[in-house]
Amino acid sequence: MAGTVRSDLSGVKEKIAPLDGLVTPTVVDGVPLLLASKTGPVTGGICFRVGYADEALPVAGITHLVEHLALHGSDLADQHSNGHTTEQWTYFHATGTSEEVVTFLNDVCAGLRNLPTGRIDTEKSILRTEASRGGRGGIHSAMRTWRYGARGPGLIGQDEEGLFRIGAAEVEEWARTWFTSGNAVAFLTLDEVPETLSLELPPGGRRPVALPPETLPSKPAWFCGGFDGIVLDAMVRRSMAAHVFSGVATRVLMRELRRDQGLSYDAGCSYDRIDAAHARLTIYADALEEKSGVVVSVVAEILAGMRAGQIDQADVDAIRKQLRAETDIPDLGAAMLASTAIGLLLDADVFDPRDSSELERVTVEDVAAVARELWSDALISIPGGHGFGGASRAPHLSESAVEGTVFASLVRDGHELIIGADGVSRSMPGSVVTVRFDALAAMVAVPDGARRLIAEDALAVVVEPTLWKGLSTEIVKRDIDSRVPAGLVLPYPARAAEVVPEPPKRPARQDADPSRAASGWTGFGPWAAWTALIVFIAAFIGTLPALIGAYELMVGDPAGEDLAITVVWIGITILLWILGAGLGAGVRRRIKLGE
Amino acid sequence: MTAAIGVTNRATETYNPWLALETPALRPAVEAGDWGLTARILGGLDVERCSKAVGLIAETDGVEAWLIPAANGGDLMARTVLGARFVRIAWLRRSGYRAPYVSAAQFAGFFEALSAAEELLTSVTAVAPTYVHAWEWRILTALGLELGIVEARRRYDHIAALVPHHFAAQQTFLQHLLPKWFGSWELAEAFADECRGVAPLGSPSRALWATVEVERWLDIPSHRPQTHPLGHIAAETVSHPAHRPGPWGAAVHAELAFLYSRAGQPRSAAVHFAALDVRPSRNGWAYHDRTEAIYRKGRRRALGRGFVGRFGSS
Repeated sequence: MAGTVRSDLSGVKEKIAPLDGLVTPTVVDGVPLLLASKTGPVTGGICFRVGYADEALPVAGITHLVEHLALHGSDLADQHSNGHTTEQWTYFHATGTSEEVVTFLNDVCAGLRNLPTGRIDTEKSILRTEASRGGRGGIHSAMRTWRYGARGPGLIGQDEEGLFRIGAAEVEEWARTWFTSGNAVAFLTLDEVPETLSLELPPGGRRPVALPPETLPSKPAWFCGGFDGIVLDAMVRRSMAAHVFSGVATRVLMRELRRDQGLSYDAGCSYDRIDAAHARLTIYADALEEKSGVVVSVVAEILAGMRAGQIDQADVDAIRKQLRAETDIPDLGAAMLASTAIGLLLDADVFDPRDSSELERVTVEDVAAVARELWSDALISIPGGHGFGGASRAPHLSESAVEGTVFASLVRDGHELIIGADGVSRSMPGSVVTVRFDALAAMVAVPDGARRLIAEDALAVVVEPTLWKGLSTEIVKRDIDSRVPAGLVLPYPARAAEVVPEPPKRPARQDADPSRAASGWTGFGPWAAWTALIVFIAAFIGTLPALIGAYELMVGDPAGEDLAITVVWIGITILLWILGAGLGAGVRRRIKLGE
Repeated sequence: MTAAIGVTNRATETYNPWLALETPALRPAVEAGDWGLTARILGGLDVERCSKAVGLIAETDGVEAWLIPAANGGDLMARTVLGARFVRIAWLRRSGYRAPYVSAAQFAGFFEALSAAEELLTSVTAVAPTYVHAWEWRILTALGLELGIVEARRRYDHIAALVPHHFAAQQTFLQHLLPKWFGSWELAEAFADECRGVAPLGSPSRALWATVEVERWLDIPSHRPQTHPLGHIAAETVSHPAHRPGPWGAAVHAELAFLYSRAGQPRSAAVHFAALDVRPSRNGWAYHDRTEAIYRKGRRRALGRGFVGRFGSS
């Protein structure tokens, strides 16, 4: 992740030359600053080329934590300032009077220079609350995880696991490495640099975007995302045609899915810059559960049509008009500041919005070519069903298990945990999930011996020492912990005793055998047959005296002791017959089932 | 016992479903792997015969070898027939058994082939929304990929808007509505009623109740087929003066013959066996593992031995 040092302003000046007359570049304390005036309140911000995609799973959440700590000195009760941590960049912004905005930026930089590390625990708990309120997760997170695993952009699909372990030293180191003057671009909607502005930051250079390898062996690929609708994304080359494609696709999707058929509420296609050369196109359409198959099919038809060149010139013209209108606004330069700042951080080429010649050159065939490029890289979340025409299933299991010691499940027959020198596997009948130590993203460790090993491809194996025959906390420590680098361990706090899973009291059941499950005689041992036999013999022997006693009762003149004995004798005999009959029925049934 | 979708209708010496097309040149063209000639013949057929012909080509082993180059060239009919072939390959991989008896590997092969079929057929309907034959097979891909009744109905509706009484599409859509897939007897019967209600006299589309009854016989071991409505069904479909014989009519005859035979009424079945003559259809019968032998037996009981010699003789 080492970056090249590029903090000279000449590069920035060249880069934004097309915006001459709209945006003025300058530099303050080594930080490039973009200026463009506008009427009304002042807006200012500072952006850094660091996001959660730059983290690793053991420190996941650290950028967000730095962002929160840096903002601690600012008055966040004021709704006009805030910070955001995204996949590739982090930024702080405020709107107000010139003095308020300058104070905000000064405070943020001061905070980054000197993080209030005493507040780490408080901010961590705020972050955990934020996450529990749905700050992370959801279908778009799943899209990243299925593409990248538990690395880079895929980390959005994991919890901010690092929050349990990150300490003051790590946070300070992260800020010194990433929140530097050379890795920042600031902006202000003013003509001139205010004298009191101080953007002093640790020195450092621009860090280029570095994407990890994808986990998808072939594309297009699909997975079941548990979302009642469809999401399809792909990385394409950045171009005006791709921009127009996203507009045309949005028009067509809204027309077909919402206006004509009322199948979706929200549908469209977004275009997001990823790095200097690439953008992400994301097609999405929501659906009611019962209509989800229709929405998936209609989207497939629309995209197949676009790939084949079925694109209406009128749609392309409408998008051109819309894009031209977006630049026909007062204070255009000021409106472009934040986006230009981020573009510079991503090392993207900057275009002059006043020059629409490139936009005018985009043809229907150019848009169709983008549709084909999109398809060749597509990852698709479908709500259910068994596939998406032409796409292969994204891998959700491992190809093989590691060799090692096998522990049988105490809960389910046929399920095994395998701990070997190369990793850990969890095998089920017909499938296996393996986490190899050399492809481990992180391991969550609970003091009672429970472990969760998360692989770089985001497959995970949970090890609960109490649920596997012969496994113990000692074995976990000896055979797993010793093979995991300390830097990948995420120590979790101790669990309450009642949360630790208890082994089942009875031996494992054979879930897969329907005859057994249906018979209702599980746990009924072979001793039953012997018991039944003995009870039968006892009942038979007791019957004769009982009958004699009963006869005497009817014909004779019994009194006192004799009567009592006879009645008890008859009673015991009847009970034995009933018990014997019941046990006998059970034995017969077991014989019939062939056990 | 297997489900009809998984069964191949290979022509044998005594059983030749290609005869129903009354286009003798097609089978040699297909067996020679001549796409140009095959395409010309298909282009000259009406919807009913073309639908049947696509199904028969799709059931012919090895056709994908010469269909793939033609499909890659962008020919819509070639893409449709190749899509249909992939659907058949999918069901061959799956086997016709009910889901609990199909292995994970079989299902994986099934979905893989269906996905390839769906892509091809979607590419056809995307550029040619009026292309009925591709829509017809997309009802079957929707079944295997489990896209739901609503989506299958949308696909069927595309066809119904273009060809109002497309019996083959109705039979395929009916599968979605059966309890063994995603529906119920009530839904299946309601659809049969719906089709009957709008179809003109003489149209096979008035006979879908018989298909439902065949399915009921298959699904419920103790079920003895109900025959009392069959006479009426025959009267307003295959026995009606307005009826125009063809592959769909043959399918109705076969189902009626099947139901009468299973109900132990060979005399009533006789007229339908006789109408089928040398062009038997496997509708209904294919649910027996030994389709042809059972068919011959039923036919012998209905018509007597005299007819056996003529079976498949032309």
